[in-house]
Amino acid sequence: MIMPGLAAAWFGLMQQHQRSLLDPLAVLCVAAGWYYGLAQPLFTGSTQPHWEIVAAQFALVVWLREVALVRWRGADWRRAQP
Amino acid sequence: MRTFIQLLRIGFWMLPFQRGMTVLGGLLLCAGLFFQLPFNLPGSSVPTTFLGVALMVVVPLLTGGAGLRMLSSRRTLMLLPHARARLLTGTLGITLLATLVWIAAYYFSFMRAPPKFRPDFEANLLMFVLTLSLATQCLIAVFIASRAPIWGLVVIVAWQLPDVALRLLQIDNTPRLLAGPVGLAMVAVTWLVFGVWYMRTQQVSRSAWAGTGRQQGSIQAVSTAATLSREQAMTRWLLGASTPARIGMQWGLAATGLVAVQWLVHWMIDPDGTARAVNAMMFGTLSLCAIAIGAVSNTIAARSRGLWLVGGRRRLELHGWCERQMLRVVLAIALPFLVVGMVLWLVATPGLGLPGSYCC
Repeated sequence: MIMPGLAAAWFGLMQQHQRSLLDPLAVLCVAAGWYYGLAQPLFTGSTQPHWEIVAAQFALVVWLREVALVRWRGADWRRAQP
Repeated sequence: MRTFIQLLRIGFWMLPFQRGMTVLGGLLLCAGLFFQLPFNLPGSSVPTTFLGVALMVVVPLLTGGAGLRMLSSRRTLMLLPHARARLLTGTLGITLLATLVWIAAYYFSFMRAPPKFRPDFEANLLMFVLTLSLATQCLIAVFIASRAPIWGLVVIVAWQLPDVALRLLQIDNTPRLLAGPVGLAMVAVTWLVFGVWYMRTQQVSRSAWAGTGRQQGSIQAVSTAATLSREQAMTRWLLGASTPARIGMQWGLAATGLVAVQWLVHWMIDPDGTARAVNAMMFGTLSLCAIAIGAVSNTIAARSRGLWLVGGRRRLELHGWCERQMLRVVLAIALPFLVVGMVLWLVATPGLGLPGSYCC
């Protein structure tokens, strides 16, 4: 529950000024992490912890944060830009 | 008619992803109709025809309420004669059109099936009522929830009430009634009540929604602006005149209410049934906090541009500050969700042993 939230948070923050093909890929990764980490185990009633998926989601969070940082660093804001 | 065509364009063709979904859905529908794909058979879980139609109608069907509310705000469109009546009629027309297209998908899917497998008139009517009921409730719930999540929750509760009431009265043919005359009457009454309110209300705006006058809000804003520090003013700008605690409280209340409704419905309808399914549903509902967090952080990113020069910060400094604000919001939203999840874990799932990785 926390990791998809954090991933969605940094995904929202990286929607600053420029967008690219990375965005749909990131959405797919977040949705896949939510599905395989939470929805599917809950649906099947699995009680086996899937820590590898949690680790992958953590890596996704770090990756999204780095992408957001790079995008903000390269943001080209002009004074007359609406 | 012009309003209806404009609303059709808004519902199906305005944004790039809408155009993509409409084109993709149309292609899938044509493929299912003309090329007789081997997996487009009646009985399959997701036939190509249904997938195509679903892709086309999902946006206007499920998010039409948010669009109607945005179009109903104060703008030049409202200066047109009978603007609200035309908007309301057009929205109802699109809802009916999307419902009929969905029902047509049944006809197309079972066109080549033997007659004994084709749905009869009663089955088609049942599906029509169910789809129209879902579309109506989604439209009105989204209309309300796009401004006030709590009231959206009230609509959901009201939606479930006839079902619970019929079961409490121990009426045997509840599903048939809900998918027949009772369901159709519910839809008609809902549209009537909503239409009367929509036509009579003075303005569909935030101040009217909150029950406070515009002038009063302006006076309050001016009086509090003088006492705010620079950081507080920037935070208010970034969070849309709200605070992390208030945002978290609103979402936490909405989630708690929704989970309570799910548990209540399960307890009233099938108290002896398996608890695992309803537990999974409740935890699944709580996991949707990611959508709330993503939406708020997206708003933060969209509003941050206005603070670049005014805030006197460089881009990376502004990014760091926005990130801290975002994390405060994440904490404020996630905390009530986690508390509700913990309570559910301890109270509603005795002996189930859900793993801790679910919380991460």
